[in-house]
Amino acid sequence: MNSRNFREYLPLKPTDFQVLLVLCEGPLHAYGISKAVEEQLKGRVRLEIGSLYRMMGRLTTIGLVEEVNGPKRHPQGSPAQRRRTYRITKLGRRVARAEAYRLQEVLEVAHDKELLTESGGL
Amino acid sequence: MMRFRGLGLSLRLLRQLMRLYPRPFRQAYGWEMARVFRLRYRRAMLQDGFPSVARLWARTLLDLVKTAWAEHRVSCLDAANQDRQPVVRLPQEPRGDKLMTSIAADLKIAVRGLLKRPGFALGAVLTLALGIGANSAIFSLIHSIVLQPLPYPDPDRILMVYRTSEQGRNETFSFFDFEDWQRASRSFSHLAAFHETNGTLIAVGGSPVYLQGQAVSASLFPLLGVQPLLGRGFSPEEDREGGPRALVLSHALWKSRFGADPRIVGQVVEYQELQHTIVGVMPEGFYFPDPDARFWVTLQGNDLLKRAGIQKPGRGLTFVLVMGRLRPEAGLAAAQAELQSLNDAIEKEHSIRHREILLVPRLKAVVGDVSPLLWTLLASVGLVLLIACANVANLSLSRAASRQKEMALRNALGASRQRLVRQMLTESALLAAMGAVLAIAVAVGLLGWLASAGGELLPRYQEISLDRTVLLFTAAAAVFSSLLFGLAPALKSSHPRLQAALQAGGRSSGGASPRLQKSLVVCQVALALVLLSGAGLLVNSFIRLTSVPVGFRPDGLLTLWLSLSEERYPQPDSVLGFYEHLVDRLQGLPEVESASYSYSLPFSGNIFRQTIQAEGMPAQSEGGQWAGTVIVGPNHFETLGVPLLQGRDFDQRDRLESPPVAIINEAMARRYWPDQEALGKRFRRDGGVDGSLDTTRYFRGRPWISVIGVAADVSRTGFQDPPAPEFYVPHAQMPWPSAALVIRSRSEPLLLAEPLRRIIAQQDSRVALHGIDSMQQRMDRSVLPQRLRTQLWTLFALLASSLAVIGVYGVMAFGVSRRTQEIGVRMALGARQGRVLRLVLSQGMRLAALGALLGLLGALATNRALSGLLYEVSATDPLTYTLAAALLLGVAALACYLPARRASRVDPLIALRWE
Repeated sequence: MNSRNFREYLPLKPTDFQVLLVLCEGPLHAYGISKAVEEQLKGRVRLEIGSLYRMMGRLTTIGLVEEVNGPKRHPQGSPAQRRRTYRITKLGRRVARAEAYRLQEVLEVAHDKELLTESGGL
Repeated sequence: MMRFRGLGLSLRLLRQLMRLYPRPFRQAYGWEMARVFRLRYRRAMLQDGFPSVARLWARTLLDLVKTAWAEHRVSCLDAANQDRQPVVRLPQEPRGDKLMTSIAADLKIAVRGLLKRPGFALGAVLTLALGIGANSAIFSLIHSIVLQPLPYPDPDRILMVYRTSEQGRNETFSFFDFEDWQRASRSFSHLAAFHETNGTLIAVGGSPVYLQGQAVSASLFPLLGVQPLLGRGFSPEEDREGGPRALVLSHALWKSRFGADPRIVGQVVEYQELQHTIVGVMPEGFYFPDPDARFWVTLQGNDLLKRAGIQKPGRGLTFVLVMGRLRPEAGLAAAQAELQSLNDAIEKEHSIRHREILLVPRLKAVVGDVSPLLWTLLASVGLVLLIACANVANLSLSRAASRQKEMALRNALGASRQRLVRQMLTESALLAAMGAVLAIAVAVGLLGWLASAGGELLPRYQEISLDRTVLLFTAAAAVFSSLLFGLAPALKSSHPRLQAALQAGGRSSGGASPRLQKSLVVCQVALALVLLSGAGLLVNSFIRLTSVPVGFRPDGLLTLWLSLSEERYPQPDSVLGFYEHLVDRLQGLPEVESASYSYSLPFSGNIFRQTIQAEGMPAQSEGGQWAGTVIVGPNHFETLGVPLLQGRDFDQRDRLESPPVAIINEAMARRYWPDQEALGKRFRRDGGVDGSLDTTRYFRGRPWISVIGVAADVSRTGFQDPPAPEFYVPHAQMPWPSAALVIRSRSEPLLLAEPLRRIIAQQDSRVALHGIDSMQQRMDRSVLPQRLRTQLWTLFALLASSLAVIGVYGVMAFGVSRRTQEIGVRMALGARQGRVLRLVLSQGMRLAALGALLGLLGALATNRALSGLLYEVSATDPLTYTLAAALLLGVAALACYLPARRASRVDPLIALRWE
């Protein structure tokens, strides 16, 4: 997976990007991630439990984050009741940085078109 | 540790709901998800308690359904990519927890099953569509007319002020009462008065058009809380006597007559010969009091009192309607008490008869008596739906009987009973869903028909729509009916004693209880008879109503109204000249048999009323008997076809300066000269005056008026009302500027409309016509509400009866086909054809008769609700009930005869080899 060119991940979905940004500060469990994202976006986006875990599962599968201490399994195979902590991978960090640069370029264009000044705004 | 109410329950519910996820996902994340939910739940409780929790639940649920769906799709794709399943798969019993998967499987089986029997599916879906569609249509009427609040802000606080006295309810007040209340009332933030006005409107450079509008007080628009789209409402100056004349346009008029000109405000138009400045345009969709009002002027600017010819108006002259908006802090009872005390003071001061003030919510006043009609209609279509459900249930029962082996087999292979019931309910739900989709089309069609049949007479007609609520209602009706018709067959055919069916070997006899089917048929017939007898009563009443003799020949008559302005025709001679010239020219047209004019038309209701005193009798006290005054032109009786029973018609002898004469109707002759010859008698105007006529020469000085003829009674207001005393006055003696033209045509009367317009425009281009109609249309319109409800009710009753009869047929046909073998044996043993026929027929008819009996009892109990709608028919009219029962039983007999005949023609040899 790591051999894949990180540019293939761009552009990131906005919420994926937000999660990566949160995880840049250090490993966190899913509830903490959702709270931090909601704070960053001032409550404009809410991650409900279903979406939250689907997203974390997907990010793990494509290798942008990893589980730090994955669920321990009982001998029978039923899941252990322990919570996962997620950490951003090296690839995840590179993708997040690339996304940030991409967004910066976009913003510069917007700035040149005077979309960000008061008169150009809505 | 703090306890959080409802947390345990919520978590249990969540765990159940998480079964919607595919198992791997649930196993991986389920526990953690529940944990996060618990944390959020606590946070929500701490924030602001249950409202927050409710929001959390709503969001979680939505998300859960969405993500569960997405996960299933992903896992299906994965499965498809990983291992290819064998092409032919037996329908597997899915594991209980895979709810989604098993619903999908159930649906698949249901679709396959229905496709295998397209006849059954089609019949069931059509039946349901008719039943549900009729309900949706009627519900949409109720929803838009009765349940939906009026389209103004805070509409519940808008009240109509009515009064009641010994003479009954009255809705109008003197303008002075209104002014006093407006000054003194504290309970209302606004009080407004309004009154209908109509007349000719001429825009600069435009052609004259006769329009209806409302003269209102300036407080009306603020009261309703609606801002004009352009310009403004009325100012206080415009509301004062002698103030500037202002006019506000409705959106429709602005678009149609003024080309939606955005610079319209400030332009001047001529209304009733007076210059008005357009000060505003109301927004689209706004109407008050109904969509016929195309513009608004102020009551004062409209010079209403002067126009009515009343020099010294008093409190007794009541013509304005009063409406108020309650202050937020004021209550209904307090407001009523306040108005009552204000009113009492006025009564005392002016010594007026006592009146009770009554406050009625505006919505109720607008909807009026339509609401009970709609609810009874909903009840009738509810019955139709019940019958439809019974039919589909019967169809499914028959089907279930033939599917018993399949069910038994599946049961033997390990399908639980619950599983089988769910399977069959899925099928029902599928049928109902398809029925509901088609039902929308049925509802649209029905509403379309209603529109073409004169539905615009319904209040709030323009607001009727199939909106989200109606769709929800349709969905609910579908769910309800799928349970109703699906549950019994499902439980029946999944009964544990299924093994018996397997043991019965090849034959599929026995099974679903015929008793259940039979009782369903009995119920259907009973319900249908309730509706049919109701329809019979309404039809009977309608026929009686419209066959009341009207006193004239309505066919071939064209009628229209026109009005001359007093400014342009000030002299009686000029008015007379205009009409005489016009009638002369009209009679010159080849299609015209004869033409005349009069102040009032049959079925129009408008009439002047006078109290009169017959010669030789004492003067009547105030509030005595009225007689109507109808001003008529030459040839009036001949043109309308009213028989002149005695005396002569008006002619050249009856001039302006000659002594006043009159022709009276039979009712007046009976009232004033009972058992006497009325011809040659005299009468005169008594104390009471309908202001407008006071100043005419005819009545001035109260001369004695001679009766020169007696004419037959003519229905003035409608079929329903008994003829009132009336006398006809020659137009030559009382020239009146406005009149109705009546033209008897030799062909289709409406073809004359265009030549007529041309002739009138040639004579005076500033005269506007309105209300061009044939007399037949006018009469039809007067009974439109009765006709509409009779038609709707009959439609639903016929629908119900056909469904019930189809039900009878279905059960009998099914019974015969199941008993083919038995019948064959009987015939082989010597039973004759006739006997078999009688056997089957009598079985079916016993069911129908029982149903009819129950139906009659039910109808007698419920039709009393109709008695208010009936004209000269008792709600227990025996003939109607007999006919309805005979009709239904007759058709039911036919429905039994067809299967019975088939049974009697069974060939014993073939029957014994059956199956």
